[in-house]
Amino acid sequence: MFSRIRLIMWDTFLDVARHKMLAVHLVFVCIAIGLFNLFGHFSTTPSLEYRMIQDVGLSIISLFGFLIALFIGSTTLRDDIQRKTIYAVLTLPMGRWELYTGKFLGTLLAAVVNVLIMLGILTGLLYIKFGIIWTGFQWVALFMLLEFAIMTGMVLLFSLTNSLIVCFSLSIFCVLLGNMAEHVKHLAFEADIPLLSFATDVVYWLVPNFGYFNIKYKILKDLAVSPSFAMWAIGYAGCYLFFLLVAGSWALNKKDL
Amino acid sequence: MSELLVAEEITKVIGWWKKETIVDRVSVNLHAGEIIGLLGPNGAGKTTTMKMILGLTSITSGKARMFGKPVPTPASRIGAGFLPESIQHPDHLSVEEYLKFHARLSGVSDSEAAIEEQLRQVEMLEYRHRLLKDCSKGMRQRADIARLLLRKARLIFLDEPFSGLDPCGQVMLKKLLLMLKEQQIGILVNSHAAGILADVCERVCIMNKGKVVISDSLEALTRTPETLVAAQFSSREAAVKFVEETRTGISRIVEPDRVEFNFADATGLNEFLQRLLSSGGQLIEVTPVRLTLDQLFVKVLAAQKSPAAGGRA
Repeated sequence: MFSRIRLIMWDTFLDVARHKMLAVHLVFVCIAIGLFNLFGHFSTTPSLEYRMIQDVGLSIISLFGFLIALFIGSTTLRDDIQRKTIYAVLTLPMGRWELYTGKFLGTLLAAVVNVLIMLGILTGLLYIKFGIIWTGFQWVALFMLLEFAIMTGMVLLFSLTNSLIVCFSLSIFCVLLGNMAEHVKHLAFEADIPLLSFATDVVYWLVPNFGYFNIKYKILKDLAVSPSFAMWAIGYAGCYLFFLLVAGSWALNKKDL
Repeated sequence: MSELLVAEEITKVIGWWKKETIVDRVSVNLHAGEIIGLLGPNGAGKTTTMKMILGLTSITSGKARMFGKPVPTPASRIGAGFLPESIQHPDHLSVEEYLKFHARLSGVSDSEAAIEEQLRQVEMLEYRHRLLKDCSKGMRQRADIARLLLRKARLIFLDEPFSGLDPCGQVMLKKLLLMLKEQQIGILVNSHAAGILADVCERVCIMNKGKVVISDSLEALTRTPETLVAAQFSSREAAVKFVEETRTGISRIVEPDRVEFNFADATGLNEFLQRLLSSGGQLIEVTPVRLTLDQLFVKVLAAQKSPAAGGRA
């Protein structure tokens, strides 16, 4: 069972890496090098230039990370169904959940490696230009990985819907709401209309709160990230990913192929 | 013969609001070493029937068992293999890598030796290092059959395996199916290629609009009550004279001194033969007339279109 999951995970990762990630990384490297040249002209001091590059670099990684999560999450299973390669696997004496878990872990691995490579490129370029080792790198990496793992898992779940447009719309909607989760919670609290209050409460609990993973402002201001906060974020992401895995396995099991 | 597959009145209904029955109470039994052909127009429900049996699509009602295990449990699929229509293989893999992946997924021990053995069986050993994208459709079909044999599939489902194959590919695949049959592998093949099915199948199910319209052995299905009698005469004149004197059957002179008579049934056949022999004619052959599977298919569909003509062929 576990060897099958591992095999599917590795195959999925290689499939994603071969087709999609390389191109994204090339584009990212070009943008990052462009940033370094651009901010050299605008900033008055090297430390300001360093901060600006860090800030914009992280924002671009966030954007690219989301795009790649959207791209690989929405195509991995869908492509297999369209190419009918999924039939060759699902007619083996194995549960659909095994296939889904393998795909889930494979896409997560691809998303994680993707973010790590982009962060590595940014850190490397910062070191080359300023000679400084980015001390907050491990925290940024950890929180971004958790965030993109959830995004990828969510898109993979939505990719089981019959339409790519529905998958994209739901994913973007959830990512937007997830970034505004605290506002949603506040709205639920403030709403006088019971139905609206209930609905916003449900949305708040269903949609992941991406606010837990946003530590960019702390990094940019050199504020420390407490290990307890990190543990909370890891626990939250773990629970959410498990929920996504169970929901996806159930949905695939119910799907007529 | 052991029974590999039993499907009893399996039905598939789709749609949330507007329900539509796409497979309606289909029953199929398949034994070891038997090839059954599912024949039908597009949208007849052939592929859905296969998918239901394989657990790819849920069964709305009815029951199916493979190897005695209820569908769709994973245990029922041990020993079953599926070759879908126009599967798009991973282009970056060679034939051997593709089989290796599936061998590992199926838990085949000593996969190297098993792959070599199966590639030899499907006559693909010399192409083992060729990329799948560089293989012809026939070669990819054979690689896929090797994939099924790797895991020792005893029941194989083939969905339109002949479509897109050139005549050589069709002959090769046909040969391969007959070889698998000799190995006591049961095969359910779904195809439009009635001519080829007739060469490989013992039994045929004709489906239309989700229902099995007719299902029987090929021998029984293609049999007709008609009989063809061929006779030889000493001269053309003798032949013409006999034809003019005889009102039985439909006659046509195929050669100057040879005549063929087609009898709608066997009534009066003995009397006719006696008269033929006494008039100096020489009996060449008496053969029952058989339909080709193509003719049967068209006849069955035509009968379906005009219910007044009867629902069964």
